[in-house]
Amino acid sequence: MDFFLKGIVQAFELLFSGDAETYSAIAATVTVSGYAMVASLTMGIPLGFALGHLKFPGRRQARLVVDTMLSLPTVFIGLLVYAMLSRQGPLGHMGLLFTLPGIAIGQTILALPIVIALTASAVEGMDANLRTTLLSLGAGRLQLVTGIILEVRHSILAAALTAYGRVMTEVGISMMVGGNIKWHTRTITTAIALETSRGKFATGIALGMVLLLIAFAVSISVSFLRKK
Amino acid sequence: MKIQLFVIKVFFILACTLTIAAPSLRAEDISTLLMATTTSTDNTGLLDYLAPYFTKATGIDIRWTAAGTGKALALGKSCDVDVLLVHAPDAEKQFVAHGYGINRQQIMYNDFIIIGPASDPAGIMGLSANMAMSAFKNGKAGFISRGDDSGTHKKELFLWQAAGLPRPEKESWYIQTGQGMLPSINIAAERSGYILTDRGTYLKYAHGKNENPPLVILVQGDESLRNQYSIIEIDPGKCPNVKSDSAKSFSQWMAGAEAQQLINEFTLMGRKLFIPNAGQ
Amino acid sequence: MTLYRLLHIRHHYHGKPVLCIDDWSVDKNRITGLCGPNGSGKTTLLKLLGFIEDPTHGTVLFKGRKQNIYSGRVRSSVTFLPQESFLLRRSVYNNVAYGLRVRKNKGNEAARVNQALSLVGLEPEEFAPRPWYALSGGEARRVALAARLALRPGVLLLDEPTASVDAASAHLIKEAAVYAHRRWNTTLIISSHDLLWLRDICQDMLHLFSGKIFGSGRKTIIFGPWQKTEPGLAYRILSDGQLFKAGRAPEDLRNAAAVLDPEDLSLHISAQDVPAEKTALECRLIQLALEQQSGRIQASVFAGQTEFCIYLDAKTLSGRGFEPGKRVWLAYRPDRVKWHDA
Repeated sequence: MDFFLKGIVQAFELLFSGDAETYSAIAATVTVSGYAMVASLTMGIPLGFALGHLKFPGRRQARLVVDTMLSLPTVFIGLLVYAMLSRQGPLGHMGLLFTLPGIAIGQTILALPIVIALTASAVEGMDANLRTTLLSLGAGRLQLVTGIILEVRHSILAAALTAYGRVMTEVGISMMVGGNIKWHTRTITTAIALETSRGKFATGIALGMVLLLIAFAVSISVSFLRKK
Repeated sequence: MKIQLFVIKVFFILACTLTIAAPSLRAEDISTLLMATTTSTDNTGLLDYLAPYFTKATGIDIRWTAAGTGKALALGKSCDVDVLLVHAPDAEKQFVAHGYGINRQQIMYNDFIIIGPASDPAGIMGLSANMAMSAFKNGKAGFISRGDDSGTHKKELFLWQAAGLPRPEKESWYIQTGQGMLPSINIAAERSGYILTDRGTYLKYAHGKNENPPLVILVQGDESLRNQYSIIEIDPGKCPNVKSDSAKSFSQWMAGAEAQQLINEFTLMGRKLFIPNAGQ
Repeated sequence: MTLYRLLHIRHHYHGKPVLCIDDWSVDKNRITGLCGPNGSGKTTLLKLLGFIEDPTHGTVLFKGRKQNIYSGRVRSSVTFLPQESFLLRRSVYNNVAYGLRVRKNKGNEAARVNQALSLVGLEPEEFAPRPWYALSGGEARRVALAARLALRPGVLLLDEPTASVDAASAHLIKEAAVYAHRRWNTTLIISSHDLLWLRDICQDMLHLFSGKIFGSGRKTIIFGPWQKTEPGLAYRILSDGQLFKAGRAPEDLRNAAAVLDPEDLSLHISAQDVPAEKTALECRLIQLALEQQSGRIQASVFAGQTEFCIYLDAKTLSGRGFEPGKRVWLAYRPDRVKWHDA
């Protein structure tokens, strides 16, 4: 168990000595999860709104599909995205395999169902009088949408946080699509996997602590958003 | 809470994220060479040691993704990498024969060893590889297999075959981990079983156990335990997108005097790990 | 000038009919009261008038034109206050200012917000910065009304504005609604159980029952439960124990309501004065009010909790000595009772 304590000490050493490899992995993790979150939120919030608010044929089936997608295994997404982005695959000409945007595509697929499902639930759970109130105060179509989304902003924030947690900690997609290339696509989680296979358990723990610290920083920013 | 304030905060946090992320937003350099290799060359640090010399000599930036030999070959087949550095001669020859790769060139070797508990319940100490494999089949002790189509796994399958034995797929003493070398060694140690490993990983393992590991070397030095590493360039005829010029430069450089000398000088925990043998 | 005209409206919820109006119109700058029991379709009618919902079938004409939910013409002049006051998760100020911002009416925002809050009796300095959750039920309803008043709407639709709020809030809400009518000529359409208030301020009254209009003007409606004695004759036990009898009763009395025209009713000082063909109930005269349009005097008499509405001319009134509080006999003809059933 001593590697656990060693790991905690090493985490701070890595951070404060400005270890280049660690910071490269941090940058890769933050960048890639940032892309994935921006993409999944810009697509997921409107889609979740549509799923939760609009009544259209096939809505229940669509909901079922989204709920099922919540359980997509990351390695499976990794495999799918690899098949798409491989030079032999349909999107191979874009040269996205083994790049950060490539990983971000996979992570977007991972985060999207979470954002859609939780946004839809929040919008569905909204008081029916909200729509009435917004309309009777003169809101047009677009103002109705933004009004409802702003009303459920705290739930959407929670959805984003949940999705971010999943995206930041996944290994399967980063490993499969990113290839764990040092200085380029090595994220914190793939680095942990590598250090573990190298037998450097303490370094693995240290990187895990670094990941937790990032998660902590994100939570702090979100609680700052939530403040009334 | 004011909505405007909320929106301002959202933008503030976005800006912060982008500032952190910005340094890695630089465009991908197209002159980079992409290699698929096995975990052993990456885990031992050999590639980290060689890469700067290669870049200095040729101006080519090299990146690699480390996977089991099976996956590395699959990446080559689907044209996703430019060059391979792998260690499964039979599979490699097949790969070239099917027209996926060209110019297979052997670079270096190290050796596999069979390790097991110091008490040696199967009594294989000092035996030849063939006889040792035969000794396992009475099932006195567990044998741990990688079972992941890696170079090491392929070598193990070759050893069963060479000893004239069927592959012990369903024997109760035969444990397939599906994991990397080091996790598999750890499993072998937990189960007091035998395992085939490359010497480099074992050295790291022993070092991690303060040079007093529960598993010791029991069979080594047999000709059939040689672990040959080779470079294969991906065939540009099959994969028009590959950077065949850079791949050729890498292959030639690795077989050249400078790299061969560097490989010879490379040590891990004070021990020499790879023996260069290009052109032999 | 006709503001609204509803034609051939058939509105359904989950396939169940809730509103059925063939032709009904509302004039501009008037106050219209909607009355009827729960589930009679008042809220649905207000939602159609407020263009919150489109009717399943039929047309709602606004200023002579068919409009839809998102038409700017409607959204900028019609506003609806739902029964459950709902506030946005923002400060009171931002709740009241929301409609002004949506209309891009930013010039004198603060002044209009403060004026609207004052109108409903909320001190702007104290209430404007409060968050949405720090209000009592009555205060929340008043903030919701203030948000509508700030818009100086052309049409203000109020759904039970005084239900389940404290007496002080109810009073302030009533005053503010009437103020809007006087000050900005706002057309008011109000549903309420507070019949005295509605009678007091409304120029028109619309009675709804089971989604149908059964008469405008001041009618007396008696709801069940009805009991049947012999075919065609039903009676209702009033809360003071007297029996109200009605002839020509329909077969199915479950959803039936009896309607009495004021013309069929008469008021008498003693039981001897009641004409032979009529039946009488002993009542108490509660209220006398002058109807400004016709110059007639409207009397409200109560038998137990049931209110009857009747018109008197000024001569009869002074000649017979009707005064509020007096015991009187209300005479009606059981065979002239009209029935309304769903």
